[in-house]
This record gives sequence, C-alpha cells and structure tokens, in this order.
Amino acid sequence: MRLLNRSSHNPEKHEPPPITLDLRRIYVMPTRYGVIFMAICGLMLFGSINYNNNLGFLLSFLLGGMGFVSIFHTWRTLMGVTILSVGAQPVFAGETAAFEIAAEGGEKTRPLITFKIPEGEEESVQDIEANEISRVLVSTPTVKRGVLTPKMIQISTHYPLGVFRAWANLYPMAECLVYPRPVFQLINQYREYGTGSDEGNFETVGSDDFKELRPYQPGDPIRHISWKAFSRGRGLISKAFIGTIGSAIQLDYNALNDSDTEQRLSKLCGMILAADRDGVVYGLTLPDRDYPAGKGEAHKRTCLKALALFGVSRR
Amino acid sequence: MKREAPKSHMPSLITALLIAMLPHFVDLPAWIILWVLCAWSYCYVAVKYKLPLPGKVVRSALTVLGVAFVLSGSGIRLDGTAYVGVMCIMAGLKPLEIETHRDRMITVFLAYVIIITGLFKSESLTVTLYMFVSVLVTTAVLVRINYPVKAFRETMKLSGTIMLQALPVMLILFLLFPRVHSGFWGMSPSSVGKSGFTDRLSPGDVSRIVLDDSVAFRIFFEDEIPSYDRRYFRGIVFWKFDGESWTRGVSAPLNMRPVGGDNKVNYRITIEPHHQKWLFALDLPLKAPRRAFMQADQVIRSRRTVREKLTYELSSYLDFHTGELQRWEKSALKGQAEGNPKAQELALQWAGAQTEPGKIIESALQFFVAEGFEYTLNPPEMRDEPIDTFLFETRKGYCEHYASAFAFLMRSAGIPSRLVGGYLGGETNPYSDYLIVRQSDAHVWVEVWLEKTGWTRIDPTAVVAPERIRRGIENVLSPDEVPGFLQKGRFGFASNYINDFLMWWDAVSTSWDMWFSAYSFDAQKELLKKIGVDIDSVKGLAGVLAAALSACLVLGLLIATALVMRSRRKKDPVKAAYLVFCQKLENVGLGRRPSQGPADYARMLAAARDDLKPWAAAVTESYIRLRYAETADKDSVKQFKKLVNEFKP
Repeated sequence: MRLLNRSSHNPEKHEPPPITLDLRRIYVMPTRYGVIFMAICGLMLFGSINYNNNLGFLLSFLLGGMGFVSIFHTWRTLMGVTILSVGAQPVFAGETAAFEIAAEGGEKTRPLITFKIPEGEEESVQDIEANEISRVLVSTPTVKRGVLTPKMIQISTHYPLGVFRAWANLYPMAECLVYPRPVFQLINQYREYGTGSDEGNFETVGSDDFKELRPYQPGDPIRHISWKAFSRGRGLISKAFIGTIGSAIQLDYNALNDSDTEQRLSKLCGMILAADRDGVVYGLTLPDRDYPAGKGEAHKRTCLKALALFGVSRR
Repeated sequence: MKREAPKSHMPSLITALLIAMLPHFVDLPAWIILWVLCAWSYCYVAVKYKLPLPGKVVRSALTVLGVAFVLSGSGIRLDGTAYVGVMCIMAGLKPLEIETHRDRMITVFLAYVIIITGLFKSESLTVTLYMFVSVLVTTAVLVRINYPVKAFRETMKLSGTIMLQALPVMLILFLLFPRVHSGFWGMSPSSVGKSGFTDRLSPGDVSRIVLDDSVAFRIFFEDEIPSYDRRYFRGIVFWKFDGESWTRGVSAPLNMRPVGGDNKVNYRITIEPHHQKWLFALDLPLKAPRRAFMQADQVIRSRRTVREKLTYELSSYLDFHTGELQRWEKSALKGQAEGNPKAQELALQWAGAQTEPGKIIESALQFFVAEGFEYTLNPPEMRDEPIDTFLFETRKGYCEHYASAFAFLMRSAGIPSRLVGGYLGGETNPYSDYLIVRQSDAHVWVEVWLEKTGWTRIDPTAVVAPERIRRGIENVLSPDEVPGFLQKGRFGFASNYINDFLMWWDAVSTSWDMWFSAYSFDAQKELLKKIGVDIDSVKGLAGVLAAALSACLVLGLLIATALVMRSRRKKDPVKAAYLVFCQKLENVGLGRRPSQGPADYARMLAAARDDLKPWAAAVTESYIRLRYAETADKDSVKQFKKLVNEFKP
C-alpha cells in the first residue's frame, strides 16, 4: 500500500497545533546582505587598523555591534508566535492546495513574517498584528490523490535590518484532502456504467426531456434556471426535467474495465461531478464499501472523499 | 505586505547618501558636488513627473565617465581624495537604479562606506557626534527599505534603539580589540598644509603665523600652570643667519648630557597635526618623549611627521643651566656675523666699552627702549641689509625682527647667540585646567651663552612691548592691527556667551581627544595592566581576544534576556488578572481548557455551580469589555483587578 505524498518523511514528527515558536525552534543566520554587511565591517576594521584611525575603529565596532544586536531583534520577532491551526479545503489532484495558517503574536506586532511551504513556489509575507489572529494562505501544488500533509511549513523573518534572517521549520499536523484528478471521458458517461437502483424506471436526463417550468427552489441545479425567463423579469424559475426525481444511478468501481485503480477513481470522480452537475441522484460502489444514492453538496463531498481515501491508510 | 514601488524609497536613500557625503562637500571638487546634486535632482524630478530613468547602458557610461574624470583629476592615482571622489560619483548615480531590493540594500551599504571615508579627515568630537547621526539615519533608511510601511519617526526610533544597544558592544571591542604597534602615528590619506613654523625663518614669517587662530597644541600640567611670562614653548633653534633669514644651520648631535635645573614641571602636550617633525616643549625640556629624539640644543623632533593629533609627556626645568659651550656649538657659531655693517659697528662699539657680556646685553636692550622702537605686525619692508634698515631707519617690527637683530648684535659683539622659534603664553581654559596655545601665540626669542648660566633666554620683545610677554599680543598691538579673532566683542552683544561656549566646547572636545584620539597600543596596554592582563606575552594577547569575545557573548546574552524579560513584562494587566481568576478556579477543579474562550468558560462555570454564575458573568463581561471593546482606562482596570481579588470560588 502506498503512502501517498508521505513517502519521504516521518509522520511521527508532525505535531498538532497550537505550536508556539520558542528557543529551540528558531534558527538565525545572516542573509546574503548580512554577509556583504559583515564583509564591509571587516574591510572597515582592516582600514582602521592600517591607518590606526580610532574613529574608524569606533564605526566598525558600532556597525558590527548593530549587526550583532539585530540578531536578537530578528529572533525576537519570531519568538512567541503561535500557530493556532493549519487547514485546507479539499482540492483535485493537480490543483494547488492552499493551506490557511492562523497565527497570533500576542501583545506585539510581528512585522514581516514570511510563511512558506518549501515545495510550493509562492511565499506569503505579512505582519501579525498585536492581539489579533492573522490568517495566511500558503500554497503547494498537488500531484496525487490522497491526503496531503505539507512536509514542512517554514516561518521566517528578516526584520528589522534585513541582514539576519530567523526561521523556524514547523511540522504541524495539517491535512488537505486531495480528490482524484477528474476524467471526463464521455459526456454523460455515467449513464453507461450506472445501474439504476430502480431498474426500468430509469430515465435519461437531458435538455430535450424538458417537462415544465416551476419556481426556483433552493437546491435546484443552477444550470436548470431559466435565464431567459429571468431576463424577462419573471424571477427565478427552474426548468424541471423528467426522471430527476425518484430515479437513481449507482456508480460502480467494479463496472469499470480499466486495469489501473487510479484511472478508475479518476473516471468515477468525473462521473460524480457530472452527475452532480446534472442533478442526478447517484450512489457509489467501491470494493470495500457502498455509498447509497443521494444528491447535493454533502453527498458529493462524501463520495469524493471516499475516492480520495480509497486504499489510503490514515493514522 | 508586498514591497512598495521604488519611488517611495528614493527620498530616504538620497537622504542617507547626502548625510554620509556632507562632510566631504568642503573639500570635494565643485564638479563632483554638482554632478551628484544634478543626478539626485533628476531622480527626484523623474519620480515626481514619471520621467524615464536612464537605462543600464547610460548608467554604465556615466559611471565610467565620472570615474575617468576623477582619476584624470588626481593624475591617475587612486589616493585618498580620488577614492572619495569615486565613491561620491557612484553615490550620485546609485539612486538611478533602485528598482530591486538588492540595489537598495547596496545603496545603503555604500552610504556606510562613505561615512567611514569622512572619518579619516579628523577624529574630533564634532566628527564623532556627526558619525553617530549619520549611522542613525542610514540605519533608519535600512530599516525602511526592508519594512516600508512604518512611519519614518518610528523607524528612527528603532534605529536609535538598536544603536543604543550596540554601544556597549562597540565600547568593549574598542577598548579590548588588540591594537597594533606599528601604525603609531599612522598615515593619513589626506595631507593638508598647515601654517606653523618651518625650518627657515624670514622676516614677516611669524607675523603671518600670528594671523592664524587655529590651535597649535594644548598642555595639561600635572600641577600648577606656570605664569604667563614663563610659558615659553621651545620649538626650533636657528643657528645660521645669511643676512636676512635664519635657518637651522647645524645638525646638532643627540643630547647626551643631562641639563641641571630647578622648578621641575611635568606636563602632557597634545599637538595638532602640523605636517612637520618639530615637537614643542616648555623651556627647558629634560629629555625627549617616546618615539622622538632630542638634539643637544634641546630641539625635539618626532621620528615621524606629525600627521595626526599626537600626545606626548614631558618634564621641563623652568630654571636651568646648560653648562659649557660645546665644541660643535663653537664651530656652528664661527664666522656667523656678516653683512649689516652698521649693526656690526654698533655691537663692536658696545663690546669695546664693556667686557662683561651682561653689560653688552644691557646696552643692546637699552638701545631698543631708548630709540623709540615700535611693536607692530605690519612693519615697513626692509630690503638690503635688513637689520641695518630695521635698527637705524624703520625701527618698526615684530618679535622676529627684534630677536633677529638682537641675536645678530650679540654675535657681532662676540657673544654666542642663537634664535629660538616657538610659542609664548597660551590661554587657560576656564572649564578645565589646561592651556590652549594657538598659532597666534607664535613667538621668537634669543638665547645667548653666558659663563654663569650657560644658554640664557633673552627676549628683546620684553623691553619693547612688555605686555606681550605678560598678557598676549592683543594687549600690545594697536587696535586696528589686532587680528579679528582676538578682538574683544567680535560677536557683538553675545560675545561673552559665545566665547564662553567656545571655551566650554574646546574643553569638552579636548578631553574627548585626550581620551579618544590618544587611545592606542600604549593606552590599551596601560588599561589592560590595570585589569591584570599583560599584553606583552602572546598568551596575554590571546587572552585579550578571548576576553573581548566572551564579553560580547555575555553582553549578547544580557541583551537577549532583557528582550525576553521586556516582552514578558509587557503583558496586559487585564489578561494577567483574568489568568489569576482562571487559576483560582483551576484550584477547585474548574480549570479552563485551552480551547475554551472566555464566554464558553463562563457558560461552563454557570452550568457547573450556581453560586459561580454571577461572578463568572461579571468577570467575563468586564474582561471582554476591557480587553477587546474599549481602551481600558486605569480606573476600570483597577476595578477589574479588585473584582478578581475578591473572588473566592
């Protein structure tokens, strides 16, 4: 069994939030400007020794001292920041997972805090205001379905002088559910593989099987709204279709003849999305479990989650 | 927070560069200043009216052009001035490219480098204070380019905080960083000619030096300051007279024989750089200070040209006896009275009448008094046979004319004589007990050799203008001759205050110089000895390094602790009181879970025990109100604390 997205690190390291950045988590190193700054201080010192210029000594040591002191300022900017939670909305494989980090800094403002997931491209810089909870989105690309846990979240700052950078590598318990990448093989393909729960009563659903117009009710698929009527000022009116009520299809993993599990899951994913879009009542059959027919957002999410976690062992 | 557009950084970066460059504006070529100002103005205008900034090619071309101009101006040599020039050319062009964070950081670093170049000109207190100001501003700009959203005042405050915290580190390193011996007087990148004595004294030279009010040196006496008329500071002894000018004339041997004397005075002199090797000493010095040597005529010369402020310690006898006339002295004096026949004739006349040298001297001095000589800074020109002209025609002159004529007369009369150039008098600083000797105190007198006393100081000025040797030149010259800086009331009604302030400032900067500029290998050695480290052993040196490093480390730890403590101490009193409330409840088994907010917690308490309900409601309500809803005034915070204190679960 594969540990999707988790193969390369030890899940034991991950800890549940809240995580407070303390002494043993924060590292400080000079930035490249810090290296240049130190080189300049060194040259100044060299010149002062050469010319035996006391004021030169004083300036070299003043700048050196300021660099030295700034280490503590940089360090203190991170010290005591608390990561309250890390969470993410589910995404489809191939999309970008956006983890929302909630962080607070206590009584003082923490300027210029950079949040980053190393494998992600974008970093997010922002201040954590005093006595407030800041929410930051950091993103990372997804490749495979399953549960994505960021290997590491790095929080850093180079405030105030930009010559030193303090950082902490955090391994918070955070998960992003990654649905399979949907495959839309054929339009309405789900009909072929779907087996009606009430066979014979199954009616195809399509735009040609229009039955009647009725007032819009919450829950009606948006694509069934008669925009033509709406534009004429008649309010929201839904187009009702034959067979949408009382008939259901069962999307069956075993009915697909692909040899590859991922391919099958991707197809099922595409079918679930298409069925949901069309307002069809559908159920899902996976080798290990059956999901009875239903419809709506919650049902869709349940089915997609089942696909995402199919064959994935969770802690 | 995203980085702001570059335009908002332009003014602050230009400010940093301007402040760093300002000390150089005095001696930079005008075209460089113009170049810099033009470039900056263009930057400013370009940002304001959204004009295009020049591209990379134009910038490179300008840089090459500017550097080429500077180098051609300095004769293709990268000396100190040219180096500063190149820096400034770059500082002018740098604001043209500050689009990226990298460029902006480099610009700030450039400002730091320019600051240090300004320090090589002088180490005075003014320059030191200015350095701190420039570092403060430049660091504020550094903070700002990293974090542009803050107000500039806050940025300055942060920069100031960092600087204050860095001061102890700076001080420790300054005191303990091992100094090297070799560059004792160092090499100044710039050498500016200064007025003062040279090894040739022509008529009119001293009257020119006197017009300069800059400080020649300062003297710190161990005990009492001698009276004005005993403060003769010996510099150069002139032996050779060519009928018009006096020159050193001999290479006197090194002093071997100790001088006998009385009234020993110990003192320290801080001499301003005069780009010569003469060191001045109160008449008559016992022996040369360190790194200098004394010749047999008590002329002290430094081993290296004095290019920087230099402090040395000396002892002198106010009353002394130099002993026998030496053989080298005799040969130096041989055949030294030529020309000026009328003067020679007069001297011979005196010598014929009396045999006692004291009487001859008396006659000569009497001659100056009786014949109506006048003391003036602007004597008429004396062309051929200047001494004859002075003695018999014009009879107007300054100290050098009198001394020169007197020495010549003595030689003609067969009395060994020589001319001494130096300073007389000086001004006591009322704010500190030291003496300031200025160029305007320059003076020339004569020494004659007498059986009884050896070389004896005779100052003919004393008889012509006695006030000069008692109180200074401003008391003997006619009012329109007194140099402007010596005139009383030159600052109008505020004269006294300004003079007082100038004296006070001189006292402050001098004590700074005494301590700061003089701090070197020797001073460090002394200091370390006091704390028990002997620098002469290599082990001691390593120890100093280790001490400096560990001191910094300890300081670092202290700073860290202070920072942590401060962030702890700053805890909100309202929150603290609320935590006390929670603690009290936890003691009875009703602790707050981390996930519970205050409101949830209050509900839980109410559900758990009926008697807690009103308390929980009151405390929670006040807590939420004080903490989140309004700005808490002191009274309501006090009330809240009281409420929590009274609470007993």
